[in-house]
Amino acid sequence: MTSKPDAPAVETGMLKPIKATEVFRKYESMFFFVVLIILNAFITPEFLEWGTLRNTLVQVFPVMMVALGMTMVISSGGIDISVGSIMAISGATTARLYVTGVSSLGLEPVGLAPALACGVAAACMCGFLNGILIAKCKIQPIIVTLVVMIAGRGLAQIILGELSTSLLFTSFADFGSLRIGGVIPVQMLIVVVIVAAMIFVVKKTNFAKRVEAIGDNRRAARLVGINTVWVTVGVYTLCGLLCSIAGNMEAARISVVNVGSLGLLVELDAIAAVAIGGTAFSGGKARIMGTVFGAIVVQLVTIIVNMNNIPDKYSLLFKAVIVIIALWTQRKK
Amino acid sequence: MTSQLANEDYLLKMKGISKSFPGVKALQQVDFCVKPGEAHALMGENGAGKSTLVKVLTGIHQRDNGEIVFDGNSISPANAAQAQHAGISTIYQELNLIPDLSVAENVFIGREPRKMGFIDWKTVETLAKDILDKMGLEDVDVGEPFTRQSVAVQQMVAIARAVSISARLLVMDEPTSSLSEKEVGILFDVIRALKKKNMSVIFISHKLDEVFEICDRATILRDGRLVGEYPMQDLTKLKMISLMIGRDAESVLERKREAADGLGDRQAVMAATGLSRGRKTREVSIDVKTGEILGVAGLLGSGRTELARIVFGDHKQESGQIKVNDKPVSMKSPGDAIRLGFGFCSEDRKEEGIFPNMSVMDNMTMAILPKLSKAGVLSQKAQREVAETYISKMRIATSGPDQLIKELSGGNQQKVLLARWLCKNPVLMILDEPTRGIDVGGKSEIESIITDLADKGVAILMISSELEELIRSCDRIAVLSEGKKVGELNAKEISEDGIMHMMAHGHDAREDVHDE
Amino acid sequence: MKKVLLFVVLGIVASALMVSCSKGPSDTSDSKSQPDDGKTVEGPRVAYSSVGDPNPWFLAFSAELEKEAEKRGFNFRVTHAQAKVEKQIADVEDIVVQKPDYLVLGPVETKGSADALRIAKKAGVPVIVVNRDIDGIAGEDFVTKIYSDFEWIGEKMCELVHDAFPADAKEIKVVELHGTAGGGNTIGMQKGLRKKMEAYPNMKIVSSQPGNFDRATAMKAMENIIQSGVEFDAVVGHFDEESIGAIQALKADGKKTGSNPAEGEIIVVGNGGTKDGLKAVKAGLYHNIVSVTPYYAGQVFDAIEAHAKGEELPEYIRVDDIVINKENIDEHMASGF
Repeated sequence: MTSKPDAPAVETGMLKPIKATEVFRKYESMFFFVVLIILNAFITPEFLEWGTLRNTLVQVFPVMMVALGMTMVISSGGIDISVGSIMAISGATTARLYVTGVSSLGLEPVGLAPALACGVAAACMCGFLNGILIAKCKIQPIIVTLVVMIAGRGLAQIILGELSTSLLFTSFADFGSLRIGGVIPVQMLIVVVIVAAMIFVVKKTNFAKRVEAIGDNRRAARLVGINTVWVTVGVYTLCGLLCSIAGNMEAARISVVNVGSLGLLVELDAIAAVAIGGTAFSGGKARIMGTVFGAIVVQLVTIIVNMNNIPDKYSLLFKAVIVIIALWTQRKK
Repeated sequence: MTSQLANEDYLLKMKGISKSFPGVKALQQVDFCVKPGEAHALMGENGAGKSTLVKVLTGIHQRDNGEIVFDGNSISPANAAQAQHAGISTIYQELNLIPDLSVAENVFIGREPRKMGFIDWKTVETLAKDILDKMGLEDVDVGEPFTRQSVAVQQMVAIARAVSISARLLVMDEPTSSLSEKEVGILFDVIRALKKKNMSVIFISHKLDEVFEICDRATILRDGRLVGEYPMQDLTKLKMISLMIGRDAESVLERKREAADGLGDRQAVMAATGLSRGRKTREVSIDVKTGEILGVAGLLGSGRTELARIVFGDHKQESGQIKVNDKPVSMKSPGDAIRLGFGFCSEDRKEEGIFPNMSVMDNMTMAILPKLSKAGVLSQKAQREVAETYISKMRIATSGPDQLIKELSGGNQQKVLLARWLCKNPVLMILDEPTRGIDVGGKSEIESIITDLADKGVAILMISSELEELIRSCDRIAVLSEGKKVGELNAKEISEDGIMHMMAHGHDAREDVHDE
Repeated sequence: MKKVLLFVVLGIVASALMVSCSKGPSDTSDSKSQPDDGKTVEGPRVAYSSVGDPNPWFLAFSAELEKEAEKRGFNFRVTHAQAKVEKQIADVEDIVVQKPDYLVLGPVETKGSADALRIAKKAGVPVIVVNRDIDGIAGEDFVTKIYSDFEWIGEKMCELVHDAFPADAKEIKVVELHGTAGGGNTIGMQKGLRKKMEAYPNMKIVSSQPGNFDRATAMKAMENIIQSGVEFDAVVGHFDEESIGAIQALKADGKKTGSNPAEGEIIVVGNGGTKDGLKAVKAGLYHNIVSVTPYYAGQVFDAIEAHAKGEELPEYIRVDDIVINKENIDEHMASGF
């Protein structure tokens, strides 16, 4: 607004008038979070209990992992709707190697660690492929990931060789329902570690700055020498990695890999979590804690519905309303 | 401030108007008065507060403080419609009329004369014709769609509409920017006619000639504050500029870089030979030496920007070679050029320069992240130090390193973008229209930054449409036309005529042979 | 360059679509190849329109039909509706064009799939309804209905829960994880369970939540029931997947499941006979299973042959199910689907 060649210091230290809407935009996910906590505290029996918190965090785990990856993708100005299929591919790869083996190659079932490593690698490769098609071949992210979403379930089934493989009574399934010290679910520990790592990445690394720059202005990013192709590939690969954590942990927890249902529709909840969390869909700053609370908000909606015997369809409506409010407050002035 | 006429009748009296936006005080205690039947110029650099003041007046922004008295009544328009109802109409550059309706319909839209409940089209057309005739537009067919008319006619129609809704005050924001000289003449005739009918006009324009031709008085703003109100006859152009930028105008306009001696002996930092790409760049050879400012002149579409993009590695040349310090280089992307020590400021700051939603600090350090980090982990302390250094060094008007760059004025944004490369100690800066869209004061500052840089030994390749700017700053000027280099002028030969002649005739003015 | 890529991408999409359609929920042979390949059987032609839900039960049933058809010299083909009524209707439209001698229909929905009956009737193809109930009149819209007696299964599950507790148990609080709402099997089991409960005044249902025949859904429902603080002694699952989801959730919460309520073990009873279900019974975590056998292809073809000979058929042919418990688990282990 102003140009003051003579008086550069005039504005320095001037108080910015803070607007209520801006505060709301910034802490929107916290707002929904608090509202839902209060609402739940009144209407849901036994809500303010350790067990509910534990349930919430365990159930929200896959959505939260995927949403963290989605946050980075959206920060770069893209979108990834193939996340659910990548979860299925990753779980299928792990289960095939760990339980079934590949008889045509004379491959006996292998141990958990190598099987998991392959599962993670498969998901990363899917993310890598997404990134290459988007950045190098310049195809729209929504198209590329739609293709991978559709093709992915088929691929997962080819990898698994059947529709579902049971992990019941395996040490992998035990790990999925492990409670550290009999109290803290292993998922909670993973969430803490991953969220801390993601916060570090976003706050401290060049990578995140470059992702944000690409999301904010891709042309300008190229012209300051950012390698937009590899940064984009990196973002989608990171998203793939987080999908693999989501897919494998969820498979272990429910002790089955079903290529039809593992990760089904997770992209919707993940995108909702990012929207509520305040990361702009046009690209820009990644808000990790926003997404964390956004994911919990999405889950709290589900919990209200489940624990109060409300039909599931209302939870979908409720989520839709929250997402609309979130996006409405995000809109450009 | 000449408010001795306090008891004289004013049509409009704005007193003590203040308006703040986040981080910016756009207007501070501004007074602005318009007499009936006068054309009043509202002057100031970009960002001085002219548009904000007009927007407060026309209800688009709400003032924080102050009073508006219009025609004896205190008003607070909440939107443009209310302002219009009060008698204040605005003629924008981009006209807000409906393109597919006819001229007549546009004049009367929303208040068509009716007969028995139906719109009386005949009367509409007769009345419209009448109004336009009075404005000297006898040739216009009022039944034709609005879009078929020239911009000038469209503008007249907008004025006609304002006149017919009995507006008392017309606000014209850059009304002549898309008009030909002849059309400007017609417009001014209309304004004079309006003045005779005791209508007042607020006239905003960057073109001083026009202001002096049509206006009676001028109010000058600077940095959101009132500088003063002057009768036109008390002002000269130079004085007006000095008041607008708050500094002696001569020093701004007449400074000319002293031609550095002995540049010819220095080694070329970058030398390109026979660069070609498509039709836009054909066999262009240029070189820039240490501490030299090479200007690139040419009309729009002459291939200036394309040349810059090839040199910066954004586009790949189809043939030709680029040497840096006498070694041939191959650049696949801007990243490669940056590693060679090149920097580039695009002509399109908004689309290709700034990261609008990122801070000044992030914008400034985006090209030197590896330098400020260890193993990919960024030191925010180092980042902040760099930002603070350059904010004070380049006198960037910002509330601090954390302010979003989009909140800065164009000139300050450009300074941040220059700092982006300066903090990298570039060997070659490629500047495409570095002062475009920047007001007079900002321009001179940026020009002096550029010449300082050259004095420190940085080679500079500068593209500009403003010949004066090139003449002031450059040591040598290459002229492009239709993708080809048509000639070069050295410091002693540089003149506006010389460049124009080359651009126009496509070859070197001094000799009739040109190198192809 | 870009065009090539576009083709590659389109190729990937196309192949993926083909995989997901043709593979469907079956790794038995491709649906079309059977009648078309060289060894085409000359016998009567039977087409099966399967629910095609990605559930192992349907795979087992369809495989069993195919085996039986081959044994008896029938020409057999199958289509998978992927649990979508519209797909089933389209499948049946395609099937009747080829005028098979019989249509075996596993309805996706009780009401929605009734349209398929009309299409077949118009084309003059007699229908044998299998797996679940459908709206229609026997002898008019279809020949007969053949499937498990779900009401009986519900009653049996109730009885098994009751018998797991000492006769003088004051109160037996039951959690029900039911199947997809509106499905004929869900309705039958819910009805049977409640009907039988009238005979046992000490039993009551404290919570009934949808498990949708799916492990993950049932697990979430169970976790939330545990958390809501409802006290219960037994869980009834409408399918093994739901029972196992419940067992997993209880295990994660540190609760024991088994056959001994005296030691605080929760009694889990369900309907099914899947491999995982049988494994859980063997491991002592899953008290009893009332089977819902997919192995009744014999009865289906018996009915077809009888109808072909002009015999009168009852409007409903019951498929018999059994109780699988710790004692007889070993002999049933191999029958898991």
